[in-house]
Amino acid sequence: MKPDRKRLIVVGTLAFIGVVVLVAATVFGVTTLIALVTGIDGPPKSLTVEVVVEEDLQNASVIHLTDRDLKQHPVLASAIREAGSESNVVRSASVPMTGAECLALTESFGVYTANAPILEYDGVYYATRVLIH
Amino acid sequence: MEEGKKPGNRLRTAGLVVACGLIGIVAVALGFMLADALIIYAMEGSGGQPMLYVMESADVQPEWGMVVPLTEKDFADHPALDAVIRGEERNPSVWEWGAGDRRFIGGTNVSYAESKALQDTYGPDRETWVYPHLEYEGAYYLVVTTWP
Repeated sequence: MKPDRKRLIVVGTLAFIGVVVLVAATVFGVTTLIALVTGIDGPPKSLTVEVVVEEDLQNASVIHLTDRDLKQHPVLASAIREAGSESNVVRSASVPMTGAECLALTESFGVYTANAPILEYDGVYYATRVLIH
Repeated sequence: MEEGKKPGNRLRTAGLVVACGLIGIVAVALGFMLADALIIYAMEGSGGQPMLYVMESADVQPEWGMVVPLTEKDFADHPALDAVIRGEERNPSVWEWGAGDRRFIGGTNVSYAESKALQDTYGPDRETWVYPHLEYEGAYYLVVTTWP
């Protein structure tokens, strides 16, 4: 009787650990798969910024960005940094962003509006565009 | 003897089944907790920059969902929320872009664990996807978190 009970406890413990690991693996796998296939919040978007010369601005509204703006919007910061480091004739960069970041950038700087304003940082002007994949 | 043994055996079987069920539930709950911890651990190492953004809403209609007053406890539990709403990360943008009746008042970099905690506490209802409006000193706020 005693060895039987011991075996039962061992089997029970192993089964318990097995179920825990199995559920964890399933949840982890499914979450990762969903994130990979659909993106966590909506279809993947990307922000494109392009350097424009001052003469081409005409009457476009301009938002002057501060260091704090860039710190609070890392997507915009990396796009501007990338575009600035380009050496092509058309200096532009495209970086991926999530739906929430797109919303934040739209409400703050109008990037996803019909007449998106021009953004200025450190004397350089940037036109923005949002691409939905 | 045979007659007396049967009810006891049945009781023992029933007990075993209940115990197995309970252990199963605990195992599933632990499994979900382990998966959550695994996901956060994996994401923290990914180099992404999760952000907390706070959006201010110009007016609130009762049909938009529930209004939750923010207390000192909320600010103490979530220093990032405190920094954005009334601290050094407050950096309100203009009202004119986007919808016009809402604007972002600031944002700050948070950890994945904090991003999840804020989403769980102040994020949208899991079924209706309606965001609760957080009320503080007469203004209404919505909490948006990113999980890059």
